[in-house]
This record gives sequence, C-alpha cells and structure tokens, in this order.
Amino acid sequence: MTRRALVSWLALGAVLISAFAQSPHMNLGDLDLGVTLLTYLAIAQAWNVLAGFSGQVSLGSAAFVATGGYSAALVLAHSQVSYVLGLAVAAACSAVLALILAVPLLRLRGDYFAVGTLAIAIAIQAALNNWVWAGGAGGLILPVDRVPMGPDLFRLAAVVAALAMGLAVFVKHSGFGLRLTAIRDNEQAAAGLGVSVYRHRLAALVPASMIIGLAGAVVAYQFVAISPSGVANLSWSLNAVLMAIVGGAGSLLGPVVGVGIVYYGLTRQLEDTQTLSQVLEGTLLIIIVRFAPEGIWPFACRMSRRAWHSRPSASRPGDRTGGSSSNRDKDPDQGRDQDPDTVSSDSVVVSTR
Amino acid sequence: MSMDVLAAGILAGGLYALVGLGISLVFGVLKLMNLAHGELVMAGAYIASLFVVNAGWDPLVALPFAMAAVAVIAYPLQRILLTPLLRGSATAPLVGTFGISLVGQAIFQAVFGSHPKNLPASYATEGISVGGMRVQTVYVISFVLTIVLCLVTHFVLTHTRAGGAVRAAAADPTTAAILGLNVNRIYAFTMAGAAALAAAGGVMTGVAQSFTPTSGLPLLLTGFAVMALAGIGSVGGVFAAGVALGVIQSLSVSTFGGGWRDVVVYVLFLVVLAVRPQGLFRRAAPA
Amino acid sequence: MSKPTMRRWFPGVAAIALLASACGSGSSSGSTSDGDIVIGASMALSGQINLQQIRDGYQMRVDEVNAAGGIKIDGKKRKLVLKVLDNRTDSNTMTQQVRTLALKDGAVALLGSCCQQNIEMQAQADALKTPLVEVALPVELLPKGEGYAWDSFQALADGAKGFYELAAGQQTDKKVLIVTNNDAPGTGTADLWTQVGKAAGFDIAVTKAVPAGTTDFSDVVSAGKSAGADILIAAMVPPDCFAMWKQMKALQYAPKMAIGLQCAQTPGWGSLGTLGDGTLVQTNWTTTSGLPEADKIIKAYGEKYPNVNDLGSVAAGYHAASIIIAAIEAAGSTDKAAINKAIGELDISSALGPVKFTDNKSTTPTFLGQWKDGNIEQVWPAQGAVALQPLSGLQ
Repeated sequence: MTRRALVSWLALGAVLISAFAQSPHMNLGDLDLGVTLLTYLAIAQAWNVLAGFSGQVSLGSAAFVATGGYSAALVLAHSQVSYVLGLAVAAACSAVLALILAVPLLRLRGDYFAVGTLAIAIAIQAALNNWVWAGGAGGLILPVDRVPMGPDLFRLAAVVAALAMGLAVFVKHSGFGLRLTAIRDNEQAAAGLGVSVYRHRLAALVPASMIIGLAGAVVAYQFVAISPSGVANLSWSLNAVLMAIVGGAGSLLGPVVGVGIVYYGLTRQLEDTQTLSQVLEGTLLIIIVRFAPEGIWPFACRMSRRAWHSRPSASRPGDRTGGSSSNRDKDPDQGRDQDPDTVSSDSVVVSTR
Repeated sequence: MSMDVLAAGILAGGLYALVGLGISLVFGVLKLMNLAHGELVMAGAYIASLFVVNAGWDPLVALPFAMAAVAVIAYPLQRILLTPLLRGSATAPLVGTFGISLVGQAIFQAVFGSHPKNLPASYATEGISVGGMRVQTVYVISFVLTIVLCLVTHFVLTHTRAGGAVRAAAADPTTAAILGLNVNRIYAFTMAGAAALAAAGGVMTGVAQSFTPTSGLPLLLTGFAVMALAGIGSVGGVFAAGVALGVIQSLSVSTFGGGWRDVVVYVLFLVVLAVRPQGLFRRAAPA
Repeated sequence: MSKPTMRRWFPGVAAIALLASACGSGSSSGSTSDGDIVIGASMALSGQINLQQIRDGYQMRVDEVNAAGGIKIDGKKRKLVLKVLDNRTDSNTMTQQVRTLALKDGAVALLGSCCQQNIEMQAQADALKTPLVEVALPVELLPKGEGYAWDSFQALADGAKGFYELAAGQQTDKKVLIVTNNDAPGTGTADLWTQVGKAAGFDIAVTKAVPAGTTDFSDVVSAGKSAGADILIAAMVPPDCFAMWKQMKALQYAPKMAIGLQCAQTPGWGSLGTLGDGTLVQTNWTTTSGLPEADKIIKAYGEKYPNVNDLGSVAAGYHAASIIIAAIEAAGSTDKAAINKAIGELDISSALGPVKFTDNKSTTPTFLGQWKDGNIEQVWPAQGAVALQPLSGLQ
C-alpha cells in the first residue's frame, strides 16, 4: 500500500472513531442533521465511484434507495429481526437488483446509460405505486419501537458513509481503480491492453448499488415510513448527481464538500425561500459545469496551490519561471490526485461524438 | 377495447411525436440529451397564456408567436451556455441542461404561480364523430399540426441548403468546420428549431389539458421514450414511434388498468434500449 | 514531512478539521424553557400544491393570541412563534423539515399540511412523540398510529351521505361512475363512496383508478358511456379533472350529476367557464354555514380570497391552530406528552365546528356546494342552501 493510501485509510478510520465518540454528546437536532448529511454523502460517494471514477453516469440512484428502503422496511414490518439484519437484507436485495439490471444496462454507454438508469428509477417508482402488499401509493409505516433512533441511527449512518468512503478510497488507490479510470478515459485502448471492460463495469456497479441500498435502508429508518413518493422519489437520483458534481466528481473529498454545500448551505439555509433556493441550485450547477467543471473541491485545491506557489518564501531557486510550477515541483501523479479529470475531457477527441 | 380508445391513443401519440421530434433533433445533431426540453415545452404554454388569457387571442393564433418567442430564448442559450459545455466532459451538458430545467421551473413558479392553468378555446371541448368513433377536436388539430411540422422539418432538412449544413454538422462537426461551416451557429439554429417545436407541443398541451410549472418532466420522459423507439435520422420514424407509443399506452390502460400506464412505457423503453440500441440508431452506441 | 507532501495534504487536512469543528460546535437548539413557544409546520407552499390559505389561517390565530399577550403558563405569559417551512410538495423534504422542527427548533406541537402529506406526517409525529394536529385530511383516512396525530376535519361518509341524498331527489338511473387517483386518499375515497352508495340504493356501475397526471381519460369516459352512468364521482388532483371534463364534453358523455372531490375545489375551476358550472364540491365551510368565527374570517380575508374554498382553507387553518393553543392552555405546560393528553380531552368549538376527539378523530360538519358563474353556493344541508341546479356545463 502506498503511503498516500495508508494516510487515507487512517484518516477515514479516525473520522469514524471520532463520530462514534461524539455521538452520545450531540443533541438530537444535530444527530438528525448528521444522519441526513451522512446518508446523502454515502449516496453521492457511491455515485461518484460509478460516474466519477468509472465513467458510468447514472440517474438511477433512486431505484437503489427505494430497493434498500423497501426491503429493510418490509423485513422489519413482517418479522422480528433486528434492524441490523434489515440492513443486510437491503444490501443483498440491492446487489441482486444490480446484477439483474446489469444485463440491459451494461450494453449501454454514456448518455444512453444515463437515460436508461433514469427510466429504471421511474419504472420502479411506478411499479411500487401498484404494489399493494407493500402499501401501494400510501406506503408503509415501520414499527416505531424497533427502528434505531438518536445516537444509534447516527452511528449506523456513520458506518454506511464510511463504507462508501472506503469504497472510494479503495477505488482510488488500487490497481482495480486504475483499470476503471483507464476504461473511463479510453475504453478501446483499455480493452486493447487486456482489461475486461464488462467485468470491471459490473464490479463497480454492484458495490456502489449495494451502498446506495444501505443508505436507502438508513433513510427508511430515519423516516420511519416508506412510500413511492418518499424513498423511491427521483430527487434521490438528482441530489446524488448535484452533490457529487458540485463538490467534484472523480475526487475523494469532492462529494463531502458537495453534500455540505448543497444540503447544508443551500437547502437548509434557504428553507424559507424555496423558489430562490431552486434558482440558486440550478444556477450553481450551470456555473460549476461551465467554469469549474472539475467541481468546487478540486477547483479550490488548484487555486490554493496556485496561491501557495506564488508565495515568495515557498519558492526555491529556479522556481519562479513563468509563474507556473516547474517540473521539479510537479507531483508525479498530481494529475490523478488533486486535479482529477472528472469524466475525461479527452472524450471529445477520442470518442465518436 | 373500443375504437374510441384506440383513436384517442393514436391522436395523443401525435402530441408525443411532436415533443419527441424536438428531443430527437437536438440529440441527433448536437449529441446533447437536453434535460431542459420539458421546460421549453412549458415555456411555450406559458408564453401562449400571456396572449390567450391576457389579450384574448385564440391559441392557434398565438401559436406561431409562442414558437418564435421560445426559439429566440433558446438560440442564445445554446450559443452562449451549452455549446461550450459540449466540448467539455460527457457529464457537463447533461448536468448543465438539468440546471437550466431547475431554473426554468423556478421562474415559471415565481412569475405565473403554481396553480394549474389552461388555454381556453372553443375546440377544447368539442368532439367530432368519425365513422362511428367519437374523438376530441383538439387532438385532431394537434395531430394535423404535428404532421405539418414534421413535413416542414423533413423538407428543411433534406431540400434546403441550411438543412444540408445541419446534416453535415451532425455527421461530422470537425470536417464540417474545416469546410467552412459555422458549426456553432448551426447548433444554435438547431436548438432554436427544436425549441419552436417544443413550444408548439406546449400550446397544444395547454389547450387539451392543463399545465403547471412542474409538468415538464413527464413530457421529457415521453419524448425520450419516443426517441429511443424511433432512432436518429428519420423524422417519419419519430412520428411513427410517437403514434405507436400512444397506442401502446391506450392498450395497456384498458388491459391492465390506469396504474400501469407509465410502467409499460418505461419498461418498453428499457427493452428497446437494451435489445436494439445499435440497430435502431444510426451511429454505434459508444457515445 | 517534506514540503511537497505538506502542500498536498494541506487542503485535505484543513477540510477535515473544518468539518470536525463544525460537527463539534453543534448549534444549540431552539426554545429555552422560559422563552417563546414554538409551533412548527412543514407545508406544501410551492410545487404542485399551494396551501398558503391554510398557513394564513394558522398565522391569524397565532397573531390573535400574541396580540393578547400570549399563553399563560405557570403564571407567566409566553408568546407563540409559528415556524412554517415550505416543502415544495416533496415528501422527503417534508419529513426532513418536520424532524428539524421537532428536534432542532424545539417545536412543542406540529401543524399539518394536506392530503397525502398528512398521511405520511403521522409516522413522524409518532416517532418524534410530538403532537400533530391536522386538517385537510378526511377523518376516515387517518392511519392508525400511536396517538400523536390528531385529525379534526370532515368525514368522507358525511359528504357521500349528503350527495346521495341530493341524488335521490333527482331524476337519474341511479348508475354511478367513480374515478379516483390510485393513491391512498383516492382508493380510500372510492371504497367509502361505494359503500355508502350501495347502502343508499345506487348501482356503482364503474370504478376506475388512474395515476395522478393522467391526461387521457378516453378509457374512463368510454366505460361511463357504455354503462350509461348518470352520476359521476371524481376524486383526483385538479389538473386531471380539468382534462377529464374537457374530454367528457368532447366525447359527449353527459352525466346528470357530478361531484369533483378535491379537484373542483381549486379556484382555477372557474377558468373552465360554463364547462365547470353545476359541478358539486364537498367543502368544510361556506359563508352561509353559521359556523363560529365565520364573520371574523370573512372580514379579515374576504377580499384577498374571494373564493369560498380559499376562505374555507383559512378557516381550517384557524381551527387547527386553535386546537393546539387550547390544548397548551389546558395542559398548562410545554411538555409534549402533556399537550398530547390535553388534546384528547378537549371539548371546544372553533372555526370548523365542535371539537371532541374519539380515537384521535373529530368530525366537523360537511357542506356540499355547487359551482355557478365562478362562485360556489351551498346546496346541502338545507339550512342556508339554495336549490340544486342541473349540471348545465356538460350538457
């Protein structure tokens, strides 16, 4: 394991432990906010693995939130199992759904894949509306006494978010991840070098979907109810895209920043003026995609590094050539780390667009 | 299933085809999946409502004005905002148009309010008896309108120089640019044309049904379904696909009941995408 | 650590530190034990529904109490704060807002939204152990919960009874077509009206459930025509009824009596012009009803909301807020469990009628109104009513 990978894992572990340690001391309002932020983070990060690292832009996160939520809720409502087992069932059902959907979906690429996932999400919502056993359009209420609350729910959400971050760290620092980004950047070349495109895409799709399903189960526990207009709502898909792209798709901390800005910054603070908040969301998306397409976090990193570089004390002899960093300063894998190409900008040249 | 229901399905399909034509045009030429197309349709309805409700015009008279107005809005939108996005990553245009759709909905809400509106017209509630079947006049009108607009689009694309330029830019933008065509301008004109088509659909929707700021999304998805069924490159194909979709919907509603109306459409959409993404489309799937 | 490494890690470490500090600081939540009393409401004020009239009703009652100095608790008068959040008619936003209001803003009680949202809010009320008073949800549709959700509104059964009573006095073939949305309120409504209709001697010939947002009703209209149903009962969202009424006229399906539950109650129905005339609605309030506070509400909002339905919504909001305020006064404390118990023991009268809960439900009187020239006039019950007009719009 490289030193950077080790540091990432250690940081993740430290944050998780501190979250557990903090949880008994936080008040209920903050715990609830934390659960919401953590579930959005898990979904956004899983989406990031699919879209940012492996190039499969999905609009179907809602399908897996629904699957995870409904399966956990139904298991809890119709049997006496614990909520932890409910989570396991959610992950299993999401994995199965991902495997089934992979058959039509993995034949599609790019925009077709995106629209295909959108159609699946909507079809599942419409189907749930008709599923009378699961409550139909009205949905179901979970048994209030067996659902985790307060600090328990927060710790559960922290674990799920940690799993999502862990998957992202793994994808970023492993050979598997390297091959995934190779497929993302130039599928034909990667295939030519012997990378099995189908298997890698599948291997990215299934774990990401499982994590989204787990997040869906946490949402179901938090909402104490499932319904087609709740956990199967398209807004889960759209929020995942929004938060990951605003924060920085293809980078590790991008979704973290994205969730913070979009949910905490926009949605929470502008609760009183919904129209304004929607205008701001849309405008923010447009501005970011136009002027900082890599996302806010990588953009900020780039700007801060540029500022650091131009500090007189930081320069070494021969440093100040033309204002940009000389070769000696350039980190060997800077391109992959702090300046991720989201979904590759090479695509215009290479693909048959 | 009665003939009335079948006829209604065919006619409703005309409206679907109109929405799908705009989406198909933009995707075929610009390779852009415009997630804001539903809002362009609504823009047509809302702008027409300014003429119809406030000034008392007939919706069909307001139609060309609404089409022109939306086209005028779409041209700079494409030129300034969307064309640069096309050169970027694959997600950028998708996300950019999604952002535009959010802003559009918010603007409609702020300016027009969220109550359902409709465009009153005498033919909105009239019916015609055709060979034992009773059909709604307004849908017959929109069907005819769709045919007219499809023919006009087809003619422009195949028999005019501008159409030739559009097809060249669609086939190979790089070579077209080398040969001296202003590809950016072509893209913007195509988007304006598609927006005009969308606005026409919006006006007819406003007369036949009603509309709210959030009515754009279901129309967008129907449009995508039509595009997937039809493929790129043939206006007639889009028309046929729209009508087919309308018929399938009517069939599924009378067979399975109303609740399954949408599921059938999306499942069909997926099946087509999965089974014949290459066969139906002119270009190979890798985008 | 070498300089390049430090440079690379700086942003990352800074971010984590920021996040940790943000979590750790944790803003202290809402009300103190001595300060203002917070009542929370997450309502649909934009998106597909706009409930601003109900919100105005809530605010009107709260302002009234505050003008008199507030509520007296433990000898001290405390003011009320009404915190209303707009959830864009989105279920998830509503749930998140309700939780924020209860957990962070310290709301001691919650006020409801409308329709389907009210059904979903009930689960949260139980989970958060916070009393929730709802209007705009027919009492039969309130799910069975743990006792924290209260509904004081009209009953579907009353409206059905009144409708069939009126229908019995008209010349019809007693055949009924029922069409509803396929969500929980819709199917509940269909079941109930079927039951009452059968008991009243009517033949429920056709029942159809369509998803909200349906635009093509040819299937429904066809079924109605071939069954020869003279009576139409529709319970859908307004855009659906707009489309259906237009289609009925065009396809020459002309029932003799029609009621548009929920869908004909929007002020926009007047924009249909003569097409909408003669359609019946079930309302919770009319200007001639003789209900308490009616004059006050007409005086305050009669100009802003000329439509009877909108005024009725203001009355509904006033009614719900009055219930919570009365309960807080009776309980004499801001303890949620005490307030909840107090609601159950109330016996008062407010803007929608008498309030006394049985099984968390308190039924308020029902009125049937009919559209005529852009206005709604009461046609049932007999006191304060005008004669029933024929269904002219669709003939």
